[in-house]
Amino acid sequence: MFERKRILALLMVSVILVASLAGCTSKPKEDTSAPVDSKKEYKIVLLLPGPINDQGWNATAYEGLQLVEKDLGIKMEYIESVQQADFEAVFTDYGTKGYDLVFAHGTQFFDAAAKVAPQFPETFYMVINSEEGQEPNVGGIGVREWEGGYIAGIIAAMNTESKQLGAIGSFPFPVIAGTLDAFEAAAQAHDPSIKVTKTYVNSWEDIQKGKETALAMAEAGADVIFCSANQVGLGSIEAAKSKGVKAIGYISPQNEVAPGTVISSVTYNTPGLFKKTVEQLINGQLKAEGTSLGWADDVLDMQWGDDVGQDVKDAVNKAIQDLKDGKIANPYKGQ
Amino acid sequence: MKDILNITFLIALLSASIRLSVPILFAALGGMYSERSGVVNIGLEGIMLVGAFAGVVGSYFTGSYWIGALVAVLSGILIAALFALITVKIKINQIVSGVAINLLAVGLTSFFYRALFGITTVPITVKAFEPVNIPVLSNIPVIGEIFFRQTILVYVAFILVPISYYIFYKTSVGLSIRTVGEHPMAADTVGIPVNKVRTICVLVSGALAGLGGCFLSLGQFNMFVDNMVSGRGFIAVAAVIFGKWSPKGVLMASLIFGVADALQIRIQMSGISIPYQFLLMFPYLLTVVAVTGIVGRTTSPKALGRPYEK
Repeated sequence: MFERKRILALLMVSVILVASLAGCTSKPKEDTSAPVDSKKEYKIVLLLPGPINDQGWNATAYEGLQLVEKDLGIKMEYIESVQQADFEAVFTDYGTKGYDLVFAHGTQFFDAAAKVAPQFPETFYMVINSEEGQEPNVGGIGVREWEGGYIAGIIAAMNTESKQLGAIGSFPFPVIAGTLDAFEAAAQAHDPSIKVTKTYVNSWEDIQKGKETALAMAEAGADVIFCSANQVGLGSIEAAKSKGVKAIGYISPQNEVAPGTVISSVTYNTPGLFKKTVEQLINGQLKAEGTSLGWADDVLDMQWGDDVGQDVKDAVNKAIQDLKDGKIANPYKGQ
Repeated sequence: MKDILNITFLIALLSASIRLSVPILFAALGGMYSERSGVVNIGLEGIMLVGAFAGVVGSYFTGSYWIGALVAVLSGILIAALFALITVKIKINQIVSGVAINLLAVGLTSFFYRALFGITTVPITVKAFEPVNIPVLSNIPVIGEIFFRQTILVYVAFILVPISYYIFYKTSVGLSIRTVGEHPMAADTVGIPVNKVRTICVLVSGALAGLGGCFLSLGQFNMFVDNMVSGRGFIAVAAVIFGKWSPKGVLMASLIFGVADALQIRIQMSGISIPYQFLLMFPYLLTVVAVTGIVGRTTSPKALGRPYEK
């Protein structure tokens, strides 16, 4: 009797484990169609820190994967929700399997990549948003996110009546804090009397906290809300809608989330990063250094809302040009 | 900073506190049923997530948030039934099983979301609960604005507290639950079906945690996003302990947490130069300090965590 229970128990636990694993990892895409005009079958994998339907950071990476497949005819595999503790193991795994290129979608992957990479010289590790690389086979490629925050700041400054803005960030990482600082700097460059309230929610996905934070900001008088924290941003847009104030979409085109509330969205063309990197792989031009791209490289873009005035568009286009020409310095104030 | 502590500020603060405490209150009340009967349910987080997802699915396919809430409750019960089967019938370690439930929930919800809606860059939105102004009561100054202009699920959560109190301390059912949790052998000798009582209590915890999750997805939003519960289920487990396994204590613990969280957001905004990490820690710290200070030493149900073998 006891034996039978034990076996049943084991069975149940393994069913649960298998089911949960099946849920969070996705199967590599199998396809036999030959890559267009490339003699070699490239083996590329994309490691994501979160799920691909996060409507933000990871969703844009997934679009990158689709773009590479569409434009370059190369199938990439991907794994979602890779946990910090598993970084090294996963890097080692793909190094052992002889992959040509391993994308890791976030700076947090860098240390693990730098540690594992020397063992697998045939594999190139590309860490997205990393500002550094490591010879010979770890590279970094990033979006200058502050340039996006800067443009959002201009739009916010030109739409506020109360002269108070709210900016929400996930964690005060240099990238995120820099984005909020740029948002503030741009708003105050437009009108020095504007006050920007900045807060952090310590999460990428706690949308209730995002909503409550934005509600508190609106109650304190802010009338345009900006949020750089993936799904948390959806919470802040919802709050803006319920309080009748405005929001600025960020990373993904978010105008449709709440038309009338979202003035416009500053979007990332993250897919472009992936395509560019894979092209470099094909041409043998991958460099073991950190590079960052911005407006000048077409990795940032605008999704204009319906009711945006020409004056706003002009101001934004001028700022974009200034950023492209390198006339504006990164206003990040540091920790 | 100067406008802190005026009346509009207080109203906004307290009504935010209530919204922040309700999901925790639902799950913690559920956890209390389960733990009082002797089953530690740390799977609350996962059950809430399933509830949040099921609520959206129910509302999406029927166009009715009421049916959404019903589906959330039923799915919560379903997952809890699995948990009860593992812990009460097969008698596997309750903590390990709870962790498994949490992992299962993350995978299940993410998988079924994609299976049903695909990979979207804009979330699927559904019909959701709207705040209901209670006639007369909502017009009372201050109190009306804080308490009586919330969604119906908020009222349900608060009504469940006295109901639970009544069940636990004024009915024979409650006595049976408590006896099973304290001394299952004694309960068995007087003819109380120990494992049946435990199973039912676990199912109740599933129903309530499911509703708690549904409050997030349909009471606060009209959408589901991956892992939207973000640790509230774990806070609920803590609230049960700090609340000393009593409905009143659980209510207090949930409210203290809600107030602290709402306050934390506002202190951060006021620009006082306290490191923000400390402010984020504040709700947890305050919950620990306040409740240990108020309730003193906590004693758990004696048979908590121990499966019952005849």
